[in-house]
Amino acid sequence: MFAYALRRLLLAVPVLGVISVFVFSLLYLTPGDPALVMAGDQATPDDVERIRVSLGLDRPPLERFGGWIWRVLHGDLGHSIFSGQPVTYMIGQRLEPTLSILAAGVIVSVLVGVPVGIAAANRRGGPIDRTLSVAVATSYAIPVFVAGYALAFVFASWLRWLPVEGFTPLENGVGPYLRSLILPALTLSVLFTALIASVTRASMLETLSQDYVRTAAAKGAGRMRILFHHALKNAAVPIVTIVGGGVATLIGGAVVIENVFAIPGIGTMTVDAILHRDYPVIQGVVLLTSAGYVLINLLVDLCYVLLDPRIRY
Amino acid sequence: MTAPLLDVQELRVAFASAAGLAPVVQGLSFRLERGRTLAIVGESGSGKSVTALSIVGLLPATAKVDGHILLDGRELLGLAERDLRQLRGAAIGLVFQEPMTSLNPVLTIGDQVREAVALHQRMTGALLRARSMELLVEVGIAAPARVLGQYPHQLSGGMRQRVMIAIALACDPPILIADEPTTALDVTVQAQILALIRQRQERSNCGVLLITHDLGVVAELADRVVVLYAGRAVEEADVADIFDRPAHPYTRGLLGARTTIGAAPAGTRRRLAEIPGSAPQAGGVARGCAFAGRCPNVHPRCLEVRPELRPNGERRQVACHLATAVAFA
Amino acid sequence: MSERTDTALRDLVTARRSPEVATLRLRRARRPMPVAWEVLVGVGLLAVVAALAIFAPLITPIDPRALALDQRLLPPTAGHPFGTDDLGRDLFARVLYGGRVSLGVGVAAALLSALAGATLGLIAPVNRALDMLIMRIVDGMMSIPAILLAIALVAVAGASVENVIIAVTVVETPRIARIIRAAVLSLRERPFIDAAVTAGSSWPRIILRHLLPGVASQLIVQTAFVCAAAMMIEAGLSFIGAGTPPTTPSWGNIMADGRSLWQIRPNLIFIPAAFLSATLIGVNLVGDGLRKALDPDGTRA
Repeated sequence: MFAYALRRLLLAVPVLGVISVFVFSLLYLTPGDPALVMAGDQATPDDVERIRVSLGLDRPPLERFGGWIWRVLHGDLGHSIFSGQPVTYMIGQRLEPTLSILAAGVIVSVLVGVPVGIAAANRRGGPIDRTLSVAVATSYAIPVFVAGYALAFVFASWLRWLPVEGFTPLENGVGPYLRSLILPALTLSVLFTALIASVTRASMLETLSQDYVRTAAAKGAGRMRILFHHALKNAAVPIVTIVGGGVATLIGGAVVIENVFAIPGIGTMTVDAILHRDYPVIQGVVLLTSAGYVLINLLVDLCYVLLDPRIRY
Repeated sequence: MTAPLLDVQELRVAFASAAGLAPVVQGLSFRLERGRTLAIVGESGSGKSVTALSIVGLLPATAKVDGHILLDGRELLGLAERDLRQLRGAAIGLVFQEPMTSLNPVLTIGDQVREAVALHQRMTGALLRARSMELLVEVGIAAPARVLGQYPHQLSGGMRQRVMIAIALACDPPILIADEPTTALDVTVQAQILALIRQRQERSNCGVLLITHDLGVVAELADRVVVLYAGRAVEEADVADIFDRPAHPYTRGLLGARTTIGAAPAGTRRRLAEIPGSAPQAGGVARGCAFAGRCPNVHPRCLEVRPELRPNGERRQVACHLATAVAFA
Repeated sequence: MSERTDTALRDLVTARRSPEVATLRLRRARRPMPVAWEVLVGVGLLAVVAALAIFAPLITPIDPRALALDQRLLPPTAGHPFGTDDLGRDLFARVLYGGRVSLGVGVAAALLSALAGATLGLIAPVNRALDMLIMRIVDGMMSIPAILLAIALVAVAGASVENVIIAVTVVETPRIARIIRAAVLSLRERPFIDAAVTAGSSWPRIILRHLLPGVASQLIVQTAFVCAAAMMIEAGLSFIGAGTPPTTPSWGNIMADGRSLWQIRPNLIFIPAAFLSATLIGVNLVGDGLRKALDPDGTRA
C-alpha cells in the first residue's frame, strides 16, 4: 500500500513539471519584449532594464527556469507588477472566500447528488430517474454564471432572503458567513450535483447487476441493506473519481461566479490581473490552483485504497 | 407417501421484451423430498436456472411467473417480498455457479458469513463469530479464523465455493438449491465440492435441488432426474433408470454425447455422438414436439402434436409419442 | 488521474456493454443509419440560431455597435424587440451579431481541436517514448482548470477573437487527444491491424487507412461535445472580460455589459443566456444523437 502511494506520488511529479514549464513560459509567449510589457507604459528605459535583470532575461533559458523553480519552491512567486505586493501574500489574503465556496459547493453536491443517484438507480425509469436525466441534460446547457444570476434573481432580488453579493469572513460570525456562502455555493453545486447524481446512478446500476448482489438477496437481505451495505462501497470508486475530476470545473466556475457575486476571492483577483497584464499574479494563481488540483487527485487515488481491498493486497 | 418438501406445479415463466412475451419455462412440475436430491438437467437456455430463481422470487421485474410453488404446503408464488425475504436463506439456501463473482469483493469473508446468520437469527458478538467459524469448519476450511478476516480475491475458486456453501447452509435450511455449483471449478476441485454437498445433505437431511448440464455431476449426487428441453420436462426418472435405459431420444443423445474412458476398444477412437442442430430459442416451437427437428426417430405425428408427459414404467415419465408407444408394444 | 475521470464518466454515463467488433462497425458505418430524434431536434435548434446569426444584417437594419444615449435601458418595444442596453445599443441586433462570434468561436475551436487532438492521438501510440512524452504533456495541460488555462493564454496574447479561438483549442485538444489515443490503442489489438501489418503496410498508411476510419465516429461525436464546451468557455471568458474585446459583441460580452444593471433589466443577461443555452442544448443533442447512431456501444477505452 505504501508502494502504491509512492507510485502515485511519483506519477504526479512529471505532471507538475509540465504545469510549471507551461506557467513559466507564459511570460515569454507574449508578443514583444516581456520586460517592456511588465514595466508598463510609464516606465523609463532604466526601469525596463532593471526589470529585465530582475527577471533574469539576460541569462540562458534553463538557468532562468531553474531560478524560477527554486524561488517557487521557497514560496516566492514574485511580486505583482500592479501593486508590488508579493504574490503569495496576495493569494493568501484571498484564499478564504474561494476555498469556502469550493468546499461548500463540493459538500452540498455530494450530500445531495449521491442519495439522488442511489434513489434513481433503485427505481430505474421511475420519476426520480427521469427527472435526473432532464436535469443532467440541462446542466450541460447552462453556463455557471447564468445559473448564478438566475438563483440570485430568485433568492436575493425577488424573495430577498439572501444577500445579493459580497462575502462575510468567518471571523465576523458563523451565521453571516454561511449566509453569504449560500448563493455562490448553491450556484456551483446546482450543476455539479446533477453530474454526481448521474455518475452515482450509473455506477450503482452497474454494481446492482453484479452476482454478489444476487447472493445477498438470496441470503434474505432487504433492499436498503443491499443498496447501502453491499452496493455503495463497490460503486464508490467512479463516484470519487468524478468528484476529484470535477474540482477542476468547480474551480473554473468559482472564478466566474466570484464576479457574479462580487466576492473578493482569487477569481476576482485573477480578473483584475488580466486587465492589468499582471503576469506574476496570473502565473502564481495558475500554478497554485493546478498544484492544488493535482494534490486533490492524489488524495482521490489514495482514497481508492480505502475503498477497494484488492488494491491493498 | 410423505408430503413433499417442495412441490412445483405447472410452472410457467415468460419474459416481457420488446417483441412480446417470450416463454422460457412452459409447464414444469416436480417434487423435492427431504433427504433426497433431485437433478434438473438441460442445456443452456432450457430454463433450468430460471426455475431455480423463480422458486425464491429472484427473477427480474420483467418476468411473469405462473403456476404453483408449494413449500411444505405454503404457496410461494405471489407471496409478499417481506415474507419471501424471510424464507430466503432460512428455508431455502442457494449456491450459484460463479464463485469468482458471487462474493462481495469489498467485504471480508467473515462479514458475509456472519450476515448470512444474522439476517435470520438473533446472534451477536462472540457467539456470532463462533458460529461463523463453525460454519467454515463444516465446509472443510482448514484455517477458519484466518479466512474470516480475508477478502474474496485472496481465496481460490474452490475455497470461495466452499464459503458459498457455508453461507447457503448457515441457517440450516431444509432446501438447498445448487445451480451449476461445480461448472466454474477445476475437475479435481469439483469432486471435493460434490462430496461436500453430499456430506452436508446427509448431516442435515435437507432436500437438494441440483441444476446442472453435467451428467457426471448427476451420477454423483442425484437420486432422481428431470430432463428439461426447451422449457418443458421431457423425461423424469430415478437416476439409475435414466442412465441404464434412457427413454427419451434427447436423454439418449445427452448420454451418448459423453465421453467415458474405456468406451472405445483400445486402439480405436469413437466419435463423440452429437445431437445435430441446436436447441430452439425461448418460445421457438409452436406445434409438435420441440425436439422433433433434431430427433433421429422422428415420426409425422411428432410434428403435429406435442407429446405430453406420460407414465412409462413404475417410477418414470416420458414426453415422447414413440417412447410411450414402444413401452406398451 | 483525469484519464480515469474520462474513462469512468464515459463508461458509466454511456452504459457500457460488452465487446465490440471493429470490423463490423467499419462495415456498419457504410450502410444508411436510422437517424435518432436527438439529431433532428438538435440540428433544428442549431439551424434556427445559425440562420438568425448568419442572416443578421437582413433581419435587422440596426448596427449592433450604434450608440443611442437617448434610448438607454429601454424595455422591449416595437423598435427594439429585446430592449436596449446601458449605452442605448439595440439588444436584438447585438444578440444576433453576437451569435456569429460565439458560434464561430465554437465551431472553429472544435474543428481545430479535433484536428490537433486526432493527430496527437493517432501518432502517439506509434512509439513508446513519443507516447510517454505526449501523454505527460496532455496530463499536465489537463491538470490546469480549463478557464484558468484559457485566461492565462488570452492574457499573454491579448484579447481578440482569434486568440480566444486559439486558447480554447489549446484547452480542448488534450481531451480529444486522450480519447483518440485510447481508441487507437484498443483498435490496434484487432486482428485486422495485424493483417495489414503482415501484408506489409507501412505505419502512416495503416494510420490513415485503417485506424483513422476506426476512430472517425468517436472523433465526430467528441467534436460536437467540444464545440459545446468551447462556447461555454468563450462565454465565461468574455463574461469576466478575458475574451472577445468589448468592441466585438459576443453573447458572453453582452452579458458582461449587462452585469451591473441586471436587477433593473434582467433581460440584458437572460436573453443572450437563452440563446446560448438553446445553442448548447442543440449541440449536445446532436452529439448524443450522433453517439447513438455511430457509437452505440459506448466509447472504447
